[in-house]
Amino acid sequence: MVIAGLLVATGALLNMLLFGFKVWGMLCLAAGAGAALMGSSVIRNKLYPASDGSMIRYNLIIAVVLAVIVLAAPVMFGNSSGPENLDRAIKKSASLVAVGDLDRAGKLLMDIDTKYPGVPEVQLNLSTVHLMQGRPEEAARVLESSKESRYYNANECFNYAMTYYQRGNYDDAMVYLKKALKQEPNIEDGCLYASECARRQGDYKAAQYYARRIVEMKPTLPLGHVQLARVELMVMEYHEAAAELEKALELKPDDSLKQEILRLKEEVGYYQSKL
Amino acid sequence: MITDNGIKNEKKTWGWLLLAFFLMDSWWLGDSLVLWLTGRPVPFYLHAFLMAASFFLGLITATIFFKKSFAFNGSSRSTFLTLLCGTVTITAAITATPVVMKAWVYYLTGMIRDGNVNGYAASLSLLGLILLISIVAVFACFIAITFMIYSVPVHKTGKVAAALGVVGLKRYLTLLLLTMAAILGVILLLNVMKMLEVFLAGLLPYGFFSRYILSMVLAGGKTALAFFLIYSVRVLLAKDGDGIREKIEQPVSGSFIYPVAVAVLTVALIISNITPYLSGPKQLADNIQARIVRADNLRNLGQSGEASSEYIKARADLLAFQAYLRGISEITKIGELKEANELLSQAEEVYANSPFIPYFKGMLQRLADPQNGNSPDINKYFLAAAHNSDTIPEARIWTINGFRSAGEVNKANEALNLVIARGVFNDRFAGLDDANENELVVLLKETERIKALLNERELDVLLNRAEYENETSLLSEMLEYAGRNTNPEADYQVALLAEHIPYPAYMYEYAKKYFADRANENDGQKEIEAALFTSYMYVKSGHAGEAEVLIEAMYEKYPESKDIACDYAYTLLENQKPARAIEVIDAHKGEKDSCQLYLKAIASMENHDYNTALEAVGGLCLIMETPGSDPKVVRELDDYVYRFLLEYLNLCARESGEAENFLAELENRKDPAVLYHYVMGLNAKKAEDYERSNLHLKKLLEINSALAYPYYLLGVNYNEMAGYKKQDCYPLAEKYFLNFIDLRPDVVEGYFCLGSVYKHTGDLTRATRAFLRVADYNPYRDNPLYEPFGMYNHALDEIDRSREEGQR
Repeated sequence: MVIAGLLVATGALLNMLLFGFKVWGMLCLAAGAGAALMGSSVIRNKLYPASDGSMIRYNLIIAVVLAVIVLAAPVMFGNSSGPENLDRAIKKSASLVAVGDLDRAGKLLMDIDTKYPGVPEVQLNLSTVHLMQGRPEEAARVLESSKESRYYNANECFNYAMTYYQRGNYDDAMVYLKKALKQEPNIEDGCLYASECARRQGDYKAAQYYARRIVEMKPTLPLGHVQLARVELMVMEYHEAAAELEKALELKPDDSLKQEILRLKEEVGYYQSKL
Repeated sequence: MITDNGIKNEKKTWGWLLLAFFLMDSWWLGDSLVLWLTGRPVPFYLHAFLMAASFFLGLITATIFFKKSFAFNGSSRSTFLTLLCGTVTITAAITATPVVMKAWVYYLTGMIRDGNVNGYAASLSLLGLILLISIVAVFACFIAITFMIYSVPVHKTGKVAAALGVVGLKRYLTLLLLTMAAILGVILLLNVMKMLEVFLAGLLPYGFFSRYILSMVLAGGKTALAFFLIYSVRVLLAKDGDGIREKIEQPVSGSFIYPVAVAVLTVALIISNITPYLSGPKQLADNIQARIVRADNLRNLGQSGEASSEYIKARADLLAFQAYLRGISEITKIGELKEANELLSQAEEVYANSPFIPYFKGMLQRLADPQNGNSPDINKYFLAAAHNSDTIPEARIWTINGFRSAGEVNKANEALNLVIARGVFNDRFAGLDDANENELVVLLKETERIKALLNERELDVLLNRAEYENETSLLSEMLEYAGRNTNPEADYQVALLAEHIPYPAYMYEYAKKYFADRANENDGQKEIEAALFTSYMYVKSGHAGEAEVLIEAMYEKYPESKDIACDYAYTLLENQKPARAIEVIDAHKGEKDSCQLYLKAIASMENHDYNTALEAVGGLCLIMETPGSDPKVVRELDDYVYRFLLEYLNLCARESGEAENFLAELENRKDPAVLYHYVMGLNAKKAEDYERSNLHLKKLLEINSALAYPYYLLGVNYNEMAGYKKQDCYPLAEKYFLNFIDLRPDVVEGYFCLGSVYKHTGDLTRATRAFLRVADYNPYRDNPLYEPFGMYNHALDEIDRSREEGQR
């Protein structure tokens, strides 16, 4: 126990020497030194003269107390800055987004963004929250705040594209979607929106290419088949469209998508009924 | 039997073992200190020294543990040597693992390639191998622990190891059970460590302190495992311990063969394991090459988009790396960066997001201007590279001094903590700063070799883009590529792309180049294929005369080739030489295929030999008139007959008297029936006798319902009846055009006519769809050589009009 205590104390001391004095560091140093002292045979025999079995109990108690202090001190007395807190906050915001609590996620991310400006992950997540809340202008503002200083990764390019898409600017959305897909060709949503942007631009060749990619990447996604059917119908490939709609129906889509499928099937049926 | 007499109190001295394990793995403490002091990557030799020193310290501490715990009679020196011998045994077993696994992978890859093993057998053999390796590793630990428990002198370690082997064989069941328990213990330890890492990382200050405490916890886990192994050895040797002790106490001298052999083996294994990782730059080159191979596999699996992206990224990384190598050389020779900057710009053009670009930019700027190596301008490059920390984690090391010199102590500390947490203390590329010219030349040659591999795949990237991008915008890049590379495939693809746009000048130029390249390859089949392609491109680009010259030469060279003969006849017809065309077709012995029959029919009609023409068409119609014929074949023949009909219409327009002679001959023969009804139907339509025309066309469908063009012509008739005679025939026109499209989705006329029907019925949505198909999916767009009626432009106009009307 003496050695373990001394090791902890040395670690806390080294940390303070390298990175400056910290209250939690002092507590850990004291806890380590205390454990070393308490674990030494002189003090232990005075406090707890007993057999081997109870010695293990005595050491275990010291170890638990030491561990609690080492873990609790940084949490209680550590300052709120530093990469560890940032990481935690980012993870928490991601969890909040995942459960749909966009308001809290947005507030948390805005707080972090104020405290640590220019952190790419924070800006990415914050822009995602804004996009999910249907505020593309806000999302664009967040993303543009550090536009000059660095390159965008695929996810950021995608969010950027979404800020244009939500505002109905399909040309610029397509530019950023292409950038995102150039970096990460397997972003499913990227392909889906690229297909839709191309469809709205009237570029059916590209729309069909991207829709086929979604279907290849995720054949279990009903929306992918529906998107492909939409494009195929636009260029009168109605047999293929009918097949895609059947596949989409087999995948048990939600009600709104089911309505869309039935509407498209009706249109396909028009052509087939004429044969 | 080992009794408590032989053991002092290893439970009470566990702290020493914990310290030993902690120290053995404490090299990072030294590295962290160096990093803190210098703010630069730790040099390799210093890193190696710190590793060796920490290991040595750990061994000394472990010696203290064993001296305190077990009944050692020898000196500390002999205890240390025995411990060293045991450690080397364990190290040999551990370092052999990657070598064995690599050998197994090579062997298995060969077996799978030859089809000698299936997936289940491969998985089973992997499990068996893992079990075997685990048994060997655990047994090596048992050997080491036995050495320590019995304080075996170094020269007797071989004997004891052999004796333990015998005990292991004798008590194989106990050994197996203990081994399994140890394996489970290791798995448990690893999982607990993983959970603890997540838990502790969430609570402890990120970086130095977190890593420190985690190292302590890991040392604790190893201590627990070591105690379990010590206990296992006691169990294993419960009955044979005395025999082992007797062997040790025998007065024979023993030998140093075992420790020396194991030490040599360990050194060899360590060298073979670390050699591939010693050179960071070489590793990067290998990594780029591996990515190219991976992308090739993706391409072969049909994932051309992903493969293309990987090629692009690999090219950018390689260019950035080349820029760094060139830059080092330029700084040494001329003191400034020239070609390096150009290469970096090229890399940015290829893929601006490559993290290697800012990283190598920063490295070169630092090297070029060492006085300002920590300036914010350079620091921003390293920060940009560090953003993608997975690829170049060492970039963050260089930001430490950058922040310090800018007075941003907190950010410098954050950067330092991040690199410590991620265990990044060295820079793989920093050593190149001092590399001599020869080393740089070797690396540059390697990069040039990889660049050549990427150049071969650049065409794949362009072809992938052609799947979804505008062909016109891609043509310039294709031309540039073809200009840079003497690759027949590139010339071929440029000609094809030019045909789709269309761009007759490039069709002609690149088809010519393609043929010249293939002709030089001395491969008959390839030369024939190239000649056919080139002659086609010549004709379609308005160079029918040259096509004839080319294919005539090929005909002389390959008189037996049916394809060449057919193509020669075709070019002769294009140049109005029907008599010679007939000679060429007839010169070819054997049964005529449909292409030859079609060409003979056209040539004979041009020659005003209608009897022969009708006989040739009769040959084409034979299958069409036979019930149960393959619909695919019928469709192909129908296409030939329809093209013959178009030639007949040309004849009508050109020489009406000759057309009447042809008609008389056909009416006289009424054979072939298919042609007869087609011609009669067309003539009746010309005379605006739609009812009679429809009767003939419907008769055709009775002969064979797989015929497509009767539907088309019926659609045209009903469309005209609705338009000119104001009859309610649009629904019928729609029906027949849809039937035609159903059979021939590749013929653009069907969509155009259908669009017209919808336009007239006011169904703008469906009209737009049909015209969109004409505009978007017509491969030859507004090429007058394919589309004399300019349907593409008409379709575009109709789309615009429909949209305008729709908006109104």
